[in-house]
Amino acid sequence: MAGVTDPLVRLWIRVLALWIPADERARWREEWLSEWAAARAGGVSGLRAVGWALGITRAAWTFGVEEWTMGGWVREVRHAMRGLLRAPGFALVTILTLALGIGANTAIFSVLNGVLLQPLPYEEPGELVYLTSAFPTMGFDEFWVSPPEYMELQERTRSFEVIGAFRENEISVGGGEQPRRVTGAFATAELFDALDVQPASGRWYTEEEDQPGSSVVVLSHELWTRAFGGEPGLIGQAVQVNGATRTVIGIAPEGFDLADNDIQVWVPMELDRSNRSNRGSHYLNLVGRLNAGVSLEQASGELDQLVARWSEENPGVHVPSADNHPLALESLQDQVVGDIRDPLVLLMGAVGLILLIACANVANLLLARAEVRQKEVSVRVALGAGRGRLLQQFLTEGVLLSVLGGVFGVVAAWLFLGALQASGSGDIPRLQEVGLNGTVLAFSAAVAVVTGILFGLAPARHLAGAAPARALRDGGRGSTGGGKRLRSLLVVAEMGLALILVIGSGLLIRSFQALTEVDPGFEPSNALTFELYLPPGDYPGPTDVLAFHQELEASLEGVPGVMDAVRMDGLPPVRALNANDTEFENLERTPDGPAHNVDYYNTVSVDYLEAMGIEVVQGRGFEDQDLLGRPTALVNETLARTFFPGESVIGRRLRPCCGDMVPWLEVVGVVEDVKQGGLDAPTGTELYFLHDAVAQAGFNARSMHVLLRTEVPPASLTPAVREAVWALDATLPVDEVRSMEEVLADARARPRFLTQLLGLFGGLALVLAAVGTYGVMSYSVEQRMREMGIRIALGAEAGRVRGMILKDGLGVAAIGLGVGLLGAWALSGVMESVLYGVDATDLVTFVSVPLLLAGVAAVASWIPALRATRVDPVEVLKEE
Amino acid sequence: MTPLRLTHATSLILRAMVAGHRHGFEIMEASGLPSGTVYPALRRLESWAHVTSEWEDDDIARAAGRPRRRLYALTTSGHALAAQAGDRLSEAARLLSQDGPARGVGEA
Repeated sequence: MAGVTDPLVRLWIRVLALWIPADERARWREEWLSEWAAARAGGVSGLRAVGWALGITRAAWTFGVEEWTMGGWVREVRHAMRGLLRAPGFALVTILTLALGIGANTAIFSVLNGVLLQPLPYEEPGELVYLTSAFPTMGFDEFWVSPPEYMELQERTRSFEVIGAFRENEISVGGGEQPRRVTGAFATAELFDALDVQPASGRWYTEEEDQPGSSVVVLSHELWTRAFGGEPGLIGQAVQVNGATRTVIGIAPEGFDLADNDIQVWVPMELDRSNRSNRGSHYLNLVGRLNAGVSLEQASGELDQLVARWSEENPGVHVPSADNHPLALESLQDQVVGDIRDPLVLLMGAVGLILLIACANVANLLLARAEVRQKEVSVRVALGAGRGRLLQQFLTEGVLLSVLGGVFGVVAAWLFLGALQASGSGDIPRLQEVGLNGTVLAFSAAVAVVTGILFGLAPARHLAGAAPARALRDGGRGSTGGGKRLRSLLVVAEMGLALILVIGSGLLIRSFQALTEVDPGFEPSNALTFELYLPPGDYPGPTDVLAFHQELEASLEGVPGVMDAVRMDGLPPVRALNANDTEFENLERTPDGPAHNVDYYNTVSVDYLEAMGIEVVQGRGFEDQDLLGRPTALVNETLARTFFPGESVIGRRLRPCCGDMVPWLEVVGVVEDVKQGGLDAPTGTELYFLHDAVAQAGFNARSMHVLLRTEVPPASLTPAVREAVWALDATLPVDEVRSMEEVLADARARPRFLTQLLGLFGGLALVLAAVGTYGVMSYSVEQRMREMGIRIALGAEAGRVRGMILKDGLGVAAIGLGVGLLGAWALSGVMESVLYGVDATDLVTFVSVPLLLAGVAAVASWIPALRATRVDPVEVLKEE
Repeated sequence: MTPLRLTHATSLILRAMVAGHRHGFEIMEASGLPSGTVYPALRRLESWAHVTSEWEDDDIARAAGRPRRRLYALTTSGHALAAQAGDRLSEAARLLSQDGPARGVGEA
């Protein structure tokens, strides 16, 4: 025992000494080692030895704490504050630079934190999964699930506590101040069990209430306050939902939503649980809650086994199968935020680069300042200040600067976030959940402190090695070789990092440009559009709906400024996919050939093509004769090419999905492709038929978009449009009247947002890099004034002197650009997923951006170079 | 600088030093105080210049076959303070002995 105690105590004394202020460390270490020897000689051992060791631990702790609280950092901070106040320009530039860096990081991190990292606002959100099907042979990797599949999943799986289904839809709600068209969800009662969230008041509906003929509804908190003034007595009252009367039984909690659909009203799904025949009708989104302890992998495994059995047990029936119609699940969180992950991570990387550049800049400024203050420091060293003391002083100044920068940065981030949320930019899911919370502030504080230590260390390291005698002799002006190297290295880093960032933003700008140049297939200018839903109560049959629209269009065409009024059931470029099975007459189905399925069915009025500006490329468009004679159809170029390559499709017959009662339609024309489902998505196969023919065949299109071709600015017609609709039916909501240009802009919201932000960051990086290069070059000219003076006195031409400085600056920049190019090249893979129509290693960007930065570096070196040539040799030499 | 208060512990240390104890462990043993109290008190006394310290002569330590010790000594002001401390300790002992046996202050 005693044999172990001695070395342990001696080791412990050495460890403790590290905590003691440096100037006293050696003394106490030696004193305690000798005291311990005395104690051992005095018979101290065992518990008494432990007591002695604990005693000196307390003593060492006291020494350290006293140093910091009484003298140390309060004194240091005061000293640093005074120093900054003496150099307000330096302080301002430094703090602003840091505020930009830390602010950008705080803002983007709070978005990343709120959107990606925070769990969804449901009970035990980790147990929630999203189930989808797929049709790989048709190219649908994520598809809906049919009602029989849903019910059989509920019956046959054991991994799930409960599975709920929903389908988002535009729904009309009347009964408040004015009728409204909002996004709602038809949802099964099980969905609320799965999400396990309590309503704000009232209750959710039960499975018994979720049967055909149900008469209840739950409203969102937002709709309740906005449309019904937050009236507490609304529960139990009747409201109109899609023209039918329903009783409000509950109000959802504030902000309650699902899969970022902004759902305002929850209506029972009313599935007929005995009907298992509609197997081909896929329209359900499924959300399941896993049983406690069941992992995503286990549930996925069960699902795979089930799918294999399912198709074996039901040969010839449309059921899920591993090859043609697999089922898949992912966490609900991934489903909600999956496609924003890459862009956000990219932005986080970008602001990380900004911060590094800002750090390099500030380190440079501090270095320059330290060199200017070298005389002061040398005096302090000569008077006996230890290196530790100086290090502490520099670190304190660095951390003080970064903390001040951090405070301003957080304020800037807070303003930025407010603006971002108010504008709803970028189509970012969960954006309203984003905020500056404890996690974010802890992140910013950590960033600020680490930043301060990083650039605080740079000058301290440099100075600690400086010999006081030399600095004093040089009158505190001389720069050490190490300092110059370090400063040049910082410029190299800045240039490299800035190049990576500016190339990234350059690529995004090119990509966004490509996206704006995508031909949507229609003419977006001078067009106004809105959606109408005609409820079954007032418009029971398909012909009632048709008649209303014909009357409305006649009335709208009478409004001055309206050239044409037409209708269609899906609004490009953001309409939902149909993916309907379609029969083509005399066209063999082959295993290698395309599935007989069409992506988009467009129900339109006769003049639709002309009003939208969609060109007919072969055959003809719809004419009035089509309203009466043989039923006709139009197809787009992609459809013609997909199913009838190399032959004419005119005169062919096809039959849209859903049964024998649908007549065969004759193809009379081919029209140009329209981007129906997203500007960046490949064009799908499209089929057009007339609303009149659809109605006559007994199919009802209750929800139609009306489009006006105008000869005046479209927005000016909005009041007239509302008046025209309400003159025919005052109960119809006409909420969103938009120009087609706005519709297009919304479709490009996310790429535009990403481009703007990264463009902003790229610009910031450019400015910071320019300032950094300028700072280093002008400092180096300052240092070499004497040399320049002598050169000029000896007859050097101004051009030569300029060239020398310029060469210096550009040389350093060139190394940085080379390193940056390699970095940008290596990181190009990261950009791929957010780019459209431009290669991640796009030559134009990779050549023009380095040239741009080289130009910036040239200007930043040119100004100091110019100053160098204006040196008056007499003046400079006189100063010596 | 930490302000100096003439605490009971400091008084005991000063008395031990007046009695001729010169290094930490001796002072600990004489005053009955733990190391965690003695060293910080010595450091404070030294920072107020009531105590000085110096390393023991190397030759003496070598002759004794042990590492050299840090030796503490009272300065003039330290002696004055020690006198003040002695008065206080006697007063405390007197007060305590009126009510019963003095504890912890009766020794030395």
